[in-house]
Amino acid sequence: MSTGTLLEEAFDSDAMGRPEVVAARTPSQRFWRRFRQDRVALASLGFIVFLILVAVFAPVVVAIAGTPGPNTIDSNLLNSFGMPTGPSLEHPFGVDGLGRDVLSRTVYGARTSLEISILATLIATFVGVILGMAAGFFGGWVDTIVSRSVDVMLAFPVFLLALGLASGCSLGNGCAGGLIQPGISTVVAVIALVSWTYPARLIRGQVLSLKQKEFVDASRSLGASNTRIIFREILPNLVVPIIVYASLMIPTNILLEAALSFLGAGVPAPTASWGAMISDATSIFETAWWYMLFPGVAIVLTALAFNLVGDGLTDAMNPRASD
Amino acid sequence: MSEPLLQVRDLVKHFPITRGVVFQKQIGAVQAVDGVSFDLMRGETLGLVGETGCGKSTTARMIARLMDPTSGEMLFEGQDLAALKGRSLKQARRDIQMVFQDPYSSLNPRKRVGSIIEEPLRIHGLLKEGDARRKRVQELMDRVGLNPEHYNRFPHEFSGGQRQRIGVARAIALEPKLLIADEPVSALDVSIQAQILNLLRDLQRDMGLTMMFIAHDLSVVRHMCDRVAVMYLGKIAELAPNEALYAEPQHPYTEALLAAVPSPEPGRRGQTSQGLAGWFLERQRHWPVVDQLNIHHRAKDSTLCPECFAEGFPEWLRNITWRGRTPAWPVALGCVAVERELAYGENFPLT
Ligand SMILES: Nc1ncnc2c1ncn2[C@@H]1O[C@H](COP(=O)(O)OP(=O)(O)O)[C@@H](O)[C@H]1O
Ligand SMILES: [Mg+2]
Repeated sequence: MSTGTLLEEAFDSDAMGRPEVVAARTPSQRFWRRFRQDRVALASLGFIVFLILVAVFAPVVVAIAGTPGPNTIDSNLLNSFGMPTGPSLEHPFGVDGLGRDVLSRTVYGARTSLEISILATLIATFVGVILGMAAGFFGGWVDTIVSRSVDVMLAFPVFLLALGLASGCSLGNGCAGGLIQPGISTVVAVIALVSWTYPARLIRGQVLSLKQKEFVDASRSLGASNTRIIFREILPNLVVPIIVYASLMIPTNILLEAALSFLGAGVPAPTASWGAMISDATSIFETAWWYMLFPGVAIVLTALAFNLVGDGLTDAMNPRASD
Repeated sequence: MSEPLLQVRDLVKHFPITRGVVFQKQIGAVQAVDGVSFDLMRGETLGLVGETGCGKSTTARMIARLMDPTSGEMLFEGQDLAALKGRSLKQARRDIQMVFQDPYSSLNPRKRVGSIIEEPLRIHGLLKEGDARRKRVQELMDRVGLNPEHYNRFPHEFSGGQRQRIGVARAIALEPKLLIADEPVSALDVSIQAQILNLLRDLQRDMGLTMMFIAHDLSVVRHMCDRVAVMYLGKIAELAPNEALYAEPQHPYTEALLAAVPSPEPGRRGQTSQGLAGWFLERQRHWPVVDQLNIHHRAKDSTLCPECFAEGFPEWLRNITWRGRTPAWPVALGCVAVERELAYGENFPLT
């Protein structure tokens, strides 16, 4: 599964004089090999890495660009009508209605966006995988509870639920007994709550089919416990689908975060968020197009890149043509 | 050879057939195993033979406690397997191991062969982790005819026959008393089958194993078993010592199975190629035991005897419908299509 194995194998088979073994790869080796051949997905992955670096080193990026911090309000940057000024050498992306630098806010917005979408995806995937595995493996009432919860969640107007929860939890002491505090954790919790259903359903289906495999019977007849079978036999076979699915959930969650922020149920001001920037920009769009354009482009590019990587991973998992 | 290791009594497994998604309603049951009894003597090899779907795997899976019986007893050294739980069940599992049918699905594709064979030792905490276990794994690999150097490889790097050897190594790692081999060669190339059969027979002899050997045709069992149980629609139709079964089959179904055994000599091909179809034609007197399920099943299962259907399955036999137990098939009478019924005792028209 690691590069070490590949080398070892090549070496081993060389010594054995058995060339056919060189071509033999584990399913995950084949998976990564196919993925590496997908240029679009690789370029998108490059963009995502770049974006993550920008988000992590936002202060450095802003310092290099020479722009003021994201929350620095400078009313001198508004023109004589109190309107923001457009792109210039000092402020390449222009400034917003309060005189804050749009470049800095877009860069810090990447932080918000990635932090929330990745965290929410991790939580939703974790919850979904655990519940999906339990439902698929144990069946019976466990499956009934999980599957019906998934059905109910999918039938829910999740966006309204998210809005309600987000505004409910962003007041004062938060909600769920103070567990969910206003701010980023609220948004993460809301997004995770509405998105765990998809991995749960997917994993349940996969486990149902893996459970039928004779290696599960073999393990049971050797005396393995359910826990051992689930984590040692079944889970390793789910790693690739989990990676693929999580990669497709991230862009959805980026858009969800942007939408929540746009509707005022996202991270509280003044934290920079692409959705909130677009929301603010709507009222002054006629005079300050740049305030909407740059965060808008950022959302589109980011979601697109994640989707392309996700598609590449999906193709690598289910190759249409044999390789 | 005299005292029984396993006594199976009135073993029954019914699978409910349900309808409905949320509110499931049972509308019937598949009687997969329907009252099976037999003794398995210490050190013997018992063949369990019957066509696909007659309940062989279900029987094996109940004995290996992969499935709970609907009713019945399975006394292993006097202890009822069905009643075992927890620690005592885990202990009993050491004594009963299984070799599975499909060498592709029976090995986890994500695990290295060494780890697959080591798993039983790990589960039961046998030997010290590390060198001792690896040595044992390599011994086992050597024992089943695999290169011990290959313990670090993944299952997909092996051929079907080698994979089945891995499955055998895993099954004997705990030195079981009873080995159940569920059609261990039916997924393999004919050229490989004999190697695996020989391996199992050698192991049986060297380790003093008691073996239950499952197959869907008698040719495989012939050279393996001391006694053969012929299973038919969830029941044991006939249980006899090997030679007696071949010499004097008591049950018409056993005759059918014998008729399906392809003859190795090319000269006799003509005779056996009538195979099942020929059997149907000649044995109308047995219609009462060959019920609808059987013939329909058989009509679809050309794998049972590929040669029997080399010239195609007779059209009329394919189109048989049933009126109670009476077979009927469409015939053209001039330009009118009618149904022809076969009276009990009447011969099938040989066209
Ligand atoms: N888990 C199951 N659920 C429902 N029916 C089953 C199940 N397993 C086996 N059966 C049915 O029981 C019958 C016997 O199956 P099996 O024991 O696998 O036959 P064999 O091994 O002789 O080919 C078949 O009709 C099969 O469809
Ligand atoms: Mg079977």
